[in-house]
Amino acid sequence: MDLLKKPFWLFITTVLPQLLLLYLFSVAYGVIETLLDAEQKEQWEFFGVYLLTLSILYSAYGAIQWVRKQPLSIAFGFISLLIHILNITLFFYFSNSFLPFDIPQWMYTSEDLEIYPYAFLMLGAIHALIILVVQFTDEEKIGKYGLNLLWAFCIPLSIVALVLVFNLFDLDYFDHLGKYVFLYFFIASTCVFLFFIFRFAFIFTFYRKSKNDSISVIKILICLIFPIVGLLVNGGFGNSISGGMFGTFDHPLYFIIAIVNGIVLLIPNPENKMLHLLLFLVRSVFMVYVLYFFMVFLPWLPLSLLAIIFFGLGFLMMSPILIFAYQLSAINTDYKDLQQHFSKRLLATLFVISFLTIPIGITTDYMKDRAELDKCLNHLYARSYFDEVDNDFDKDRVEHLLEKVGQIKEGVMKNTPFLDSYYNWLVLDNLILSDAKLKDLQNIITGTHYISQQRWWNGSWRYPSVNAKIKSSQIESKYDDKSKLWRSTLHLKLGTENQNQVMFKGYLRIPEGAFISNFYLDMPEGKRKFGILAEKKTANWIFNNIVKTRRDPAILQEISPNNFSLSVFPVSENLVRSTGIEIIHKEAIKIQLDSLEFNLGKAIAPENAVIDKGDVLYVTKEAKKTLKEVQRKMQVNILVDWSNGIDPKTILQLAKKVNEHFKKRGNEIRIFAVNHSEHLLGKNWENEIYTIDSVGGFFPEYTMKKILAQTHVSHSDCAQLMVLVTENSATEIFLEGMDDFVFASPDVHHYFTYSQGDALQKTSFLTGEKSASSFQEMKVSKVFQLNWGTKNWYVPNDGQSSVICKHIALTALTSKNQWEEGLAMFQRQQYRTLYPETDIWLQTVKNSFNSHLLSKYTAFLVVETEAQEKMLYHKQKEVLNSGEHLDLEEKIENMSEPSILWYVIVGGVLILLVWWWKTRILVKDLNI
Amino acid sequence: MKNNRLKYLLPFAVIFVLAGNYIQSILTTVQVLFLIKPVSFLVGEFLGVTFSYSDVAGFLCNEYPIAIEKSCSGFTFFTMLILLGIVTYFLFSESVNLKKSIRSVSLVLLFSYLFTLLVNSIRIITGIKLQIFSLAHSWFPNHIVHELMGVLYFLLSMVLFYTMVKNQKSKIC
Repeated sequence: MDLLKKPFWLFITTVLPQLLLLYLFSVAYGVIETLLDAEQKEQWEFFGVYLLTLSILYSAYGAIQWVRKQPLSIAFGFISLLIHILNITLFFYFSNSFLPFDIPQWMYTSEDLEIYPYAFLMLGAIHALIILVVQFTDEEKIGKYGLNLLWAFCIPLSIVALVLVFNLFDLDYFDHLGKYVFLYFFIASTCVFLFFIFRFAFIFTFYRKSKNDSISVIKILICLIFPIVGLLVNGGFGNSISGGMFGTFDHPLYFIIAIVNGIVLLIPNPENKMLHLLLFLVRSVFMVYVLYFFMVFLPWLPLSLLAIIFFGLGFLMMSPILIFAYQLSAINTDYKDLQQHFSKRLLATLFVISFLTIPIGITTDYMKDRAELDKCLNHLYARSYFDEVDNDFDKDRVEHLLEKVGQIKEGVMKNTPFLDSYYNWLVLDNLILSDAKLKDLQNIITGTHYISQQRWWNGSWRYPSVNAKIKSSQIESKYDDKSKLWRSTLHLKLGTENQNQVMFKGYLRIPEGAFISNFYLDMPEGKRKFGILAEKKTANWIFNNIVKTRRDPAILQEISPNNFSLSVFPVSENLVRSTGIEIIHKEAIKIQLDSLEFNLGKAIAPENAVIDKGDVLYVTKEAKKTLKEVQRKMQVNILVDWSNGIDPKTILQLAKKVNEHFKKRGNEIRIFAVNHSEHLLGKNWENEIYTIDSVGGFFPEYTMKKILAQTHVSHSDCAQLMVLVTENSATEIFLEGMDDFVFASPDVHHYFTYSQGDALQKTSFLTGEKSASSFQEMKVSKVFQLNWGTKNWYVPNDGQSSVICKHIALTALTSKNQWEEGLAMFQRQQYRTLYPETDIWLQTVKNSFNSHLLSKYTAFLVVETEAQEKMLYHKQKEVLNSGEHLDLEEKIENMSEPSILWYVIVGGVLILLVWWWKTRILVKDLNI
Repeated sequence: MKNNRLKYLLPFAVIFVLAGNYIQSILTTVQVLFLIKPVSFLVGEFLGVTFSYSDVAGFLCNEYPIAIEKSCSGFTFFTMLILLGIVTYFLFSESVNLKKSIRSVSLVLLFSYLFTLLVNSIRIITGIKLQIFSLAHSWFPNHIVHELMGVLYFLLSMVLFYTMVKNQKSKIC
């Protein structure tokens, strides 16, 4: 059994985990370094040097033994075990100063940082123990190996007895002996206990040929009874109070496989070679199941002794290790026996195929989930407004996968170890599907009705219960002759009468064609900190976490086109905060901050009334006054709720009423049946609608946006009016609201909902505000028509400047002027709105960074400390990397090097060719 | 004896490749600066272009839509060269002792690094030229050509490296 003593194992079990641990801790140290005091820093550095030295020593010893072709010695086993025990104990004692409580948890780079040292160092300790077991086990003198089990179980019994004795005599000095003695006594007992267990498993696995009658009882216990009882105990016998400590294994398949595998292991090997082969294959198929539980329970090994002392059934934790050893040995014996009848290569191939059966099955199932999930997510968030796509869903699979994702999210600890991580990686790309998205999928695809959430920004807009106030404001506007634009800064002083620390939250509105280019917050000690332009999700995450720890942050971000939110924390009676926002604009503009209005810049006649910047037109306020005012023809779109659970008769009655009304008015009418998808109905719509299944939820947002996008892109002279017909207006589901599409509907600012009881309601595209309405209000307002080139453009009559995207296409950003870069970014964002399937999130984030202008996907964030700044960059990197699949075709080209697979394939082919060539020469030589 | 060594070196190679691949996957742009900074300098000097650096995007070319960052650092190539060097050394040296091994492995590391910088720079320069060509000719299958070119460059240079290390070995021994 020298295999286990090869130096090669030293690198795998000890050096590699130590290096990995060192790397993970160095990343974490980089983030929290500035928050540690000198002593803690010293400890971290000492820990790093210590671990590195250990790794070097281990590597050196391993390398020397490797080169000398010597196995790892018994002395090494002892020393390594002692070192590992020392390491684990050291970390246990110093963990509080390594990872202090006063550093917020969110600043650690991983939630599991605390358990990493135990998990990584355990492997080395177990390897050292195995070396000792191998060394102390002589094939000639095995004797009754069952005695090992007896010795092992004597240890917890002795400890219980000892504790009872100590209690009996009530020895005070036991306390004085100190917890250290007790702790080391316990660690030593655990090692001895595990030594005997491993020895038993080792003999059982490798020297099983010398079996006697008692093996049958042990076999039945290990192969059949222990696994089933173990699963039952883990599941709390169906009682969830104690169940699931090691994971959720309550699926019937776990039990079925445990039983079948137990039986297959217990069946004596038949004489018939085909039957024996079959048995070998079945055992190989289930080997992966046993290996899985072996891996799940391995990290818990040192606790098994405790589990036995405090909870008698703790010995079941040993069961996966024992059955793993037994099954491995059974397969090994089968393999050797079958070699008499079959070739080695055939047996090895069959073993590999059988072994991979379960993993392949699981992977295939997960891949199907992934395909379905991708389809659903694309359907909801990235469906083209111009192409027809397949909308057929496997409802059962979607329901099942959403339930599973929900379970993974809820689990405090992993529900099913490894498998959930695998599922997370394969199906979810390690990204957490937000609660909102999960709910959206459930409601739109599977059609569980619920009260729709308000998705427009003002629906979720809440001022803090005690909001700080603007005490004073000052405007500073400078005209830059060179780039011909205004650069204005709005300086604000924020205060409150409240003695407690409160937050300031304000709502800012600026016109189209103006861009936010900077932001600052003065720190209490007087230092001015400028905002870091960061990815929006990251910035919000950091801001919320900093507010929790009550330090100084401020954030400025877009909530809908041209609307922004500003938050500053903390403000108190004694702490008046100074902050400022810099805006670049082409002409004099009016901005609004909460109820206050500010005029920025002065009227200077721009060079042109309509500024043509290639793909974008900027229409000044003055230019608008000279345009022709027109009223476009109204086209009515009736969107009939045809979702799961509706009453078709009621819905059709309502739809008919609306239809009749517009027929009388002589409007052009289109009728759609809408659920998770939409179907345009013909003239015979009342009958045609019954051919469509009423499935999923009522999701009119996509249909409305599709109509508006197509109208906008085709420069149609029709204005689109939307009327939703549903039993209850609360069932309409919106994901993002319609505010992004206001530009595509300059003459209609609302959509209407007609529901039971003749209730007619209008909802604002911009704010989502709902109010009662009447049929008379269903009309289009006048707009300005701009004829530029060969096409007509329509802009709203709102007294503000407008920006028109002449070409809705993605073009490279070439401008050096910040304002023009802003216009280009505006065009890209409008492109994204019209073509959600081409995600340019990453590109826009990068454009925003480069031009230093606030975009839809970024936010200005001011943080107080260097550590927070580091954390921001760290988290941002994570977010930006995770969004790799969001890259666009026209992305910045990375000169990526070929993947490792290429090396393996091409290198392999080369080696084969060389080998073939050499063999040919050899054959030729021999012939000669 | 060599066959015997191969038996030990093979698992080492597999682990080395897997570990290298894993480390490559967790590395960030900042951590491969030692590879991409000199490369961007060389590429910039050769093509007469300039780069601006960001922790997120790496070295962004100011003239063309091209970035030199983690994925093109040549880290995989670097690890493959080290592996090749070490395997070649242990496979062909007549006797192995600690002092000699340390010296040879250090040399392998140094040469692998310099070789990686050189080959990767040449690869990226050709890549940029191809990219410019493909921008003007939409029919050009840039991605496939780029990938194939990378494989070809790296493998040819690995063969060259192998020959060099082997020759060096035969001179030493």
